[in-house]
Amino acid sequence: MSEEPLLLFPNVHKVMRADRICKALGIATRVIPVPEEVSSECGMCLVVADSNLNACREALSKENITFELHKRGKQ
Amino acid sequence: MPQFTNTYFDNASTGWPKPPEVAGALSDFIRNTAGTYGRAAYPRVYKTSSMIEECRDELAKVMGVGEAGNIAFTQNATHGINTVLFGLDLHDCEVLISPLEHNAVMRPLERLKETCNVHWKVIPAEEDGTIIPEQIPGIISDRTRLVIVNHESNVNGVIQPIEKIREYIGNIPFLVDTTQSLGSVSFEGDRWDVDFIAFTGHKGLLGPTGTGGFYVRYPELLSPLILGGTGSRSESVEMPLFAPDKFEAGTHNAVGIAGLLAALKNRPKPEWDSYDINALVQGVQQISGVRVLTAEHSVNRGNVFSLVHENLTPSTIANRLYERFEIEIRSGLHCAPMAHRFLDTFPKGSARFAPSFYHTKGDLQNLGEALKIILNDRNYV
Repeated sequence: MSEEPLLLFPNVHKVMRADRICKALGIATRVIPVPEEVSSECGMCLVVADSNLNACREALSKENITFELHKRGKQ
Repeated sequence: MPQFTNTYFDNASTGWPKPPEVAGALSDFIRNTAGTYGRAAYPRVYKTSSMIEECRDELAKVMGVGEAGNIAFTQNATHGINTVLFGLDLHDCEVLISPLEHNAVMRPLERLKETCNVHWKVIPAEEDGTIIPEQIPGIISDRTRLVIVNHESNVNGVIQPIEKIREYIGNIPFLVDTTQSLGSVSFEGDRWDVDFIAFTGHKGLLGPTGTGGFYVRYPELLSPLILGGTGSRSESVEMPLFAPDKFEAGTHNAVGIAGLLAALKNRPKPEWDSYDINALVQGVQQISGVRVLTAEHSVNRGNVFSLVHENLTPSTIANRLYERFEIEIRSGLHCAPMAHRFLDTFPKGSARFAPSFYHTKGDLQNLGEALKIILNDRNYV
């Protein structure tokens, strides 16, 4: 089964900011509930296509937004 | 008989009218959006979370701060001020305050005096309450841990020289209460090196009541006032250490924030400016028996002013204005007994006037005319 990158942020503020930055650059994102195996957060995280991960990482780094990178099975 | 487009002159209590888009946003949120902040990932929650973050970003622009994530929503500015005062470790310390502070500051300080041996000193000021920054170093001691300044007085509208005050307090943490000023007076939190900014959403920003909060430059140095669920770090029974979550326990006033965002995005273009306020103040100053409480110099005069009369009490003036012209103003102490003591208008207080950006120039001129009529009418009962 192929996997896709899952980006976990410390809080909703950062999720929303990251989502806005990615979308402004044309990087497609999906917001999903945080999977239990990743964290016990009850909030949201971002999923991006593997091919967009580097662009995403670069864009967020420029804005000093850090995240934990996880992988999830494509659904 | 003066004709008004709007007789509400109590905008220092709460701003009205609001931009029409505010009511639309409130209604739309209740009818269609709902959703909590960040507690799930379905579209309704996403939309609400995104809206709240957009509001945070807009507030950061108004406050002149770069880090919107350090702005926390609370129920009002008082709640924000309490968070700062009780969230810092001020045991056995000294706090410097302006002479025009509101009870939102004074009552928490009084409690801290009783419980934590916190003492406060009033910064030297001119007769109108304008701080004299050059005299601040003379009252700083090795126990001084915080400086608190009300940016614009809710009694006489004096606007304090924040940038200059920072110059003279050195590195002492600085809390500025922008309750009365934000939205009508420009603010540059980062450039002026302000550590804490308390704000309300319902006055100059023209949002709904129940919105407000504070900005904190170093969230790690401040403890939260209210503890509870945040939707983050839910595995722990301790509060998250990062802002804004650390200060936002419990469900947000999302409907109120939706209204505040609509207000921020639809600011009215005022028909009048400081010239018109100055003309109004100068006209009222000419009325016999009247003392106007306002900044001595027009450069630091806000849109709020008060008056006292040698024979008429503030409540009599308020009542006459309403009965004769349906003009709505607030009389009394305005929750600022300390300011009134300083201005020598305690305990009766003053009659206060605060126009809206929706008033016309004619409304301001007519307010002056109405005051002349009711204050000069010796036969009015």
